[in-house]
Amino acid sequence: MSNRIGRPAFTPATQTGTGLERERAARPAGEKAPQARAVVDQFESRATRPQVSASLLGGTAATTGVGAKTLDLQQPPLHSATGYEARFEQGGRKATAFVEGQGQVSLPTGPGRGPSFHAEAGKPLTVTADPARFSSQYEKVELVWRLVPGGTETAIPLTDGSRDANGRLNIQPGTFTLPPDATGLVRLSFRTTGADGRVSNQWDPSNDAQVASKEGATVSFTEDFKTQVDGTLRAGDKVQLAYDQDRLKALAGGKNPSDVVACVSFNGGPPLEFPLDLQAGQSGNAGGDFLPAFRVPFEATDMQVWFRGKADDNTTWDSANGQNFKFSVGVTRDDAEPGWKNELLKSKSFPNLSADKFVGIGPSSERYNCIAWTVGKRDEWVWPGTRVEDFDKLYAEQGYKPIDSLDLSHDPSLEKVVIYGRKPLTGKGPLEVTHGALMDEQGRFTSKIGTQPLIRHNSADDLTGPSYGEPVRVYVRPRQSPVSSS
Amino acid sequence: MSAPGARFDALAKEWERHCAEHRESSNPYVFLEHPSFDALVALGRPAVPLIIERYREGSVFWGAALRRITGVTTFGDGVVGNLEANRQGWLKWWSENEAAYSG
Repeated sequence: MSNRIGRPAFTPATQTGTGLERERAARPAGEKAPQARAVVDQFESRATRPQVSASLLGGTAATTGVGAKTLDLQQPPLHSATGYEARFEQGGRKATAFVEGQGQVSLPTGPGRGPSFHAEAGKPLTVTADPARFSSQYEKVELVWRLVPGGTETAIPLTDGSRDANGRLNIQPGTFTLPPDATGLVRLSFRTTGADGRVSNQWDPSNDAQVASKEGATVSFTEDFKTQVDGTLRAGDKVQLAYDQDRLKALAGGKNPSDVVACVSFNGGPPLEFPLDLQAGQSGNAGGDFLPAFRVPFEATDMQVWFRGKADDNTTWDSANGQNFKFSVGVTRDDAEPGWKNELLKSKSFPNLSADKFVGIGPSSERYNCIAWTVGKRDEWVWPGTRVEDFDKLYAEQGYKPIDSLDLSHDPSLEKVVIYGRKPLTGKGPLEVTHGALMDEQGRFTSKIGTQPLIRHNSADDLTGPSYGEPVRVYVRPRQSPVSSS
Repeated sequence: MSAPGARFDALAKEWERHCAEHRESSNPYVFLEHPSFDALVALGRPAVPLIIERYREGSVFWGAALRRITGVTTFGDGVVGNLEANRQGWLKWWSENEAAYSG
């Protein structure tokens, strides 16, 4: 599938409108103003989408109506992957995306502690392996794959019994197509059968492939130096990067860039680098620009993106003046990982919390706690003290006021935070605050449980128990904007 | 494993078990208020290399022990704030100060 980078009429976020000035100054004199260019928008996702929202850290959210579009025939097409390859070599891994008839790119394989490969829902994944990985004593090698969580195993023969000059089994590629509704991971393992009939399985976490689900967001970096998010950027879902390389060309003084790479960092971690230039390969040699699609990790709360390319001997950057393009990542879909729910169901701290009363919307994390969550932070541990007065002060700084009653009714015009408390275990002293929960737009509550998962629960009383005690105070403020948990 | 190393290992496991038993807690002082944590801090400078090794992949609250042992205040108190950034800061600090704590 090919796309063009669209330029719908929209108001750019503040960050993108101002942060690029220095780089934009590199635009060669005489080049026509971006706004003067005609635009094209053939994104299928936009065709049916009445509104999109962009949430850029440090800037204002841009809510966009899709305007009229005209054609720009100078715009190069972007090509989505038509399939992926996971190659197990001796001492290394190679991940590849290919576009039928256009070429291929090498994808990042990660640090080795987690999944090495990439895949996409509804598209084929071909697994190849170096025959030297397998003992000549084996009679049979199979690829076993299943979706995690919840999938069932499927075995694909990789051998037909023939052997090479060294006596090793010839290993054929194994290809399967992921279900259209696939999410999470594809677990890849090799099942070997020895001459003695013994069967064993070769797997470790770095064998897996991250699945970019069908649903997700497309982040566009248009030639007129605007940034737009189509769809919802959500942990666990797919994100596509639609980058117009004319931006780098402008920043390089009109020179055509080569070796263009999109760098993506989640939570400030080491960047993944996605090549954007399709290279000639088995899948074709026509070339073109690549539209990378990948899975946002469950743990992600923010995503930073920047671009790099070579022009002559110089490296050119498109990085919002070195600040990078920053995006807030929303929480996951309900119960995206069943283990989150199971973990809390095992807890003895919450006797009221039954399976029908909550869903998991984020993984266990030490990056933030419940109080941080209530004040909109997911990269800090916030704890003002244990007295109720300490929390009065904290929430006052956020524009909240305490109310006299424990009114936990839903009022769409108000944001509410409820704090929990209990008597000290010593039996003496003032009430100790233990927890805070945030009410969402539907009147349900969202709670980060210590270092455990983030959940959405039906009522405040779901967390009443020996650990948190019970709700002791409610704070309210006018609802300012949609809560990120929706 | 040396005797000090074995002592550290036993205390570290005890403290990590305590933290796991209170993982629903948002009050970070619940993690720190335990005899095993006090005993780890009492091990002093010889424990710093051992803590660093645990800290690389383990709990972000190890930073609180480093703060107490070394007296370095650059990376906060180790219980509130951006604890992951503090971890990176401590690991960089270690790369520059390891020699002072070796041998």
